[in-house]
Amino acid sequence: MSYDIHFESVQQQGGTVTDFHVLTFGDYPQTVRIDGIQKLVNRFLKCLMTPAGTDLSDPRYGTGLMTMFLGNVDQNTIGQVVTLSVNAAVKTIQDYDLANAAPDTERLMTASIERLDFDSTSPGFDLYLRLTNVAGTTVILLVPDMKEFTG
Amino acid sequence: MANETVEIIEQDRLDAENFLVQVLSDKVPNGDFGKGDALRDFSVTAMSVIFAFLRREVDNVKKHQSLLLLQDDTGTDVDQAVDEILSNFFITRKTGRKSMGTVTLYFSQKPDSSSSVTVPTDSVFFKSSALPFLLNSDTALVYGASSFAPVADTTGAVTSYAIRVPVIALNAGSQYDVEAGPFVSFPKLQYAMKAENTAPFSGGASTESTADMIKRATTAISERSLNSPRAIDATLKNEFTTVDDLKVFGFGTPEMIRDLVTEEGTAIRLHTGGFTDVYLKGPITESSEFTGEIGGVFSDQRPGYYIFRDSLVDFEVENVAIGDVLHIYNNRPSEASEYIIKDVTPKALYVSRRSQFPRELPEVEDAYTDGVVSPSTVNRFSATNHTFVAADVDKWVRIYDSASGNDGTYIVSSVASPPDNYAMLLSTDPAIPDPITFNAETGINWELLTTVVEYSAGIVGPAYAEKVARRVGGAFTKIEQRSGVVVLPPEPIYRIREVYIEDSTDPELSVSGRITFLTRANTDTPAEPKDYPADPLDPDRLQYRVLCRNPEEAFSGWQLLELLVSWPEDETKFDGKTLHVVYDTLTGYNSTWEFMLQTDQRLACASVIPKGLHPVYLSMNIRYATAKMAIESLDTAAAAQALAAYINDFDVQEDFDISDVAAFLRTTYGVIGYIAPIVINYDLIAPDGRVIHYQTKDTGSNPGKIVIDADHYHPDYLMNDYDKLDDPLVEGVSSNTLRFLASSDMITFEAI
Repeated sequence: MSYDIHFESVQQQGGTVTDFHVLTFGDYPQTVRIDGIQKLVNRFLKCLMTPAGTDLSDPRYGTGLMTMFLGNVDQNTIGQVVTLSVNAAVKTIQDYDLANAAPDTERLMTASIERLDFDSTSPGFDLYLRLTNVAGTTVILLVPDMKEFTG
Repeated sequence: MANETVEIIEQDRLDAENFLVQVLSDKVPNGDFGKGDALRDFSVTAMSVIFAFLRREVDNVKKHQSLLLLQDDTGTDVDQAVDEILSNFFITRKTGRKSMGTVTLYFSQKPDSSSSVTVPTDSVFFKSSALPFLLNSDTALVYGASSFAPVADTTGAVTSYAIRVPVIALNAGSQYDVEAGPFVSFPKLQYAMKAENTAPFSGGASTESTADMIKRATTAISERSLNSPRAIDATLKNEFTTVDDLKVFGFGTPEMIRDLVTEEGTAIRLHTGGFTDVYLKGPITESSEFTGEIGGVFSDQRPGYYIFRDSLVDFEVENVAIGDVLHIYNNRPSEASEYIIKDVTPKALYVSRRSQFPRELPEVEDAYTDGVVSPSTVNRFSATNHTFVAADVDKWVRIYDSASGNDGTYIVSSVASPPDNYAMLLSTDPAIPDPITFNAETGINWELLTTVVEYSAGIVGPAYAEKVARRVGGAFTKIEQRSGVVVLPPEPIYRIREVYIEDSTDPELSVSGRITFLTRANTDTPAEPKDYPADPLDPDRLQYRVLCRNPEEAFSGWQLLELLVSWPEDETKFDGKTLHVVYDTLTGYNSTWEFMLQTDQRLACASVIPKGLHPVYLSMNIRYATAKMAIESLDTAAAAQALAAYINDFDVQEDFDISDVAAFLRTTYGVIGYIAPIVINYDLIAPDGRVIHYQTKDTGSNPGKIVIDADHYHPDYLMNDYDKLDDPLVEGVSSNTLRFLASSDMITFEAI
């Protein structure tokens, strides 16, 4: 089983994402290697949060999720963009999985929106994603924390 | 390459990604560098562009080190790379050539005899607004009244006066090789009316292309001296922009005739080696003009050729012939006393240059112009600027150019005491008995000689004196003189366009202020009326003849090329007049000649000289029909110019036949639908000065090859030997030494 390196979202003050620099290697003493479903989660979230057209080797890689933060968007639009973005990321990852002989734990079976919460008192939202690998393991993630949501 | 742009394409980057993935996977076998992985993003994708850039740069550097790879590429960086590579071998790009020619400037009136017209050095002549030409002279050119040629209309009335001004293009480039025609602008000199070039300009060439430079490099990397064909090729092409190509002939090649020596007894001809001819191909300078006095003295350029002259003896009258012996009596012990005569003219004898004359004879102590003789003082000779003293006894006084028949060489028998100091002279000629009776004369040209030449000439040894008896006189010189003759410049003389005398006074021969010699003949002792003017005083039948005294050195700087305008019955008719000869020549030849013969360049053990290729001028009439679908007519002037350029560029090493002409025209001009069978006339200017006429027809089954061959003599020139050259190799002519030339005025088109 081959490994990737771990990254996680930038912990913004107040929990607000202010620009596209949303990923970091985390506050660890050295780079963390990952495999299994954690590697799948990282790959999926990286694709979801990469603006389409910015990847040098594949302009189709990424989604429109981060582009949404450039302007004022109503909640209805947010819901549609999130749905489209998640679906695009699912297709990209599954296409990549077809081309690579990865273990079942690192290949995506499905990903869907578990929950999308809006706070009426402040801008922003919480996105909960349900992600299942081919091996049948399911995790629920909170975006942008990208930590497993345990309820 | 400092400003070079390195361009990478998507494939370069993908190749770089694959390479990096391969390397990293080998080094980090557990790492996942698959698409979409963070590890790939940071260690592969981010580096791929840089890596692709470096790989492309490496490829470019590798390519720029190889002429083999560069010749398939183009661009300024390629040009620069080729320059840099070849500079390692001291090969530099040729910077191009400037076109040159002569502009005829017309004036409504000419200056009076006391004034002149000056064309300043900053004069600019515009053929068009984009084609400026400058005066081709470092100094302003001054034209006196005698330089203004009258221009007459059909009635003979003078309408204007013309001068010829040499010009050179402002920049290099073949676009300056303009056709004949008017100039749109010219210096505003007083009374200047218009300007035109009557002959096309030539010699222009653009900066050498990279492909041509690489091609030249194959022979350019060689020793830079004149000691082998490759070295000669490299040296001359690198040194001169006017050398487009060259061919070298030396020992063992049939075209080498300069090293032939004829053994006198058996007449066997042997190649001795030690000679190399370098035939140059370059641009043609059209309409160069030479002026010379007919019958005037000229200098024989050939090295080693000294001429024996005796102003008191006409050697032809004395029946001295080639093969006779010239016997020198007072030669020095180290010098030969007998010389076989190789050529005879009325005023001179030539011997082989391999048996050079004793040039120390005669020894002239001094020359004066103030001799005085008088009948009242028999055999007494005095001079103002020379005081004869006793030491002058037994020296000789040579009087020459006397206006009163006093020419001769005399011995000083005694000298009068001061203050008289005159010399008493005794005759050295049995025909002049002592005491000598001079005709009164002052201002005599004379020389005081310490040694004279004692000689005789004849065929019967040992005295060899039955034709010219032993006598004192004569001199070894390089100065020659022949009636009716001018000697043309020692350079390749190609097409002669005009030969004329500016003379409006001859009641029978002057036409429009000129006596013009229209026809070039091959003999002055013709067998056919067509070859000789039945009525020499008919201006339409005046002709000239060109004769090269040394065909083995023709088209070189040693040629002795005579142009004869008189005829046997009246050899001196035009003597003293100034003859104008307008001719084409090889551009830059004189510079190449001087370079190859200067002491630090020439070989110490051999004679290497440049020559011009033997010119063959093609002329033809193209009978054509326009294609049925053509919507425009043929531009015959442009077609003639294009065909002439095609012929001039043709490599004679390749077979050239008439079908090439037809194919070129059909390819270039789609408006031509049909071309009738073509007859091509071609004229070889032979090394001996004759023009040998050939003709080839395209008969369909026979493509009509253009070859110098006795089977293809022009039918009009089959009758007489003087129109034939059955064995061209005798004069060094073969297909290897030929050059096809044509001019647009030699090509006509006729619609059928």
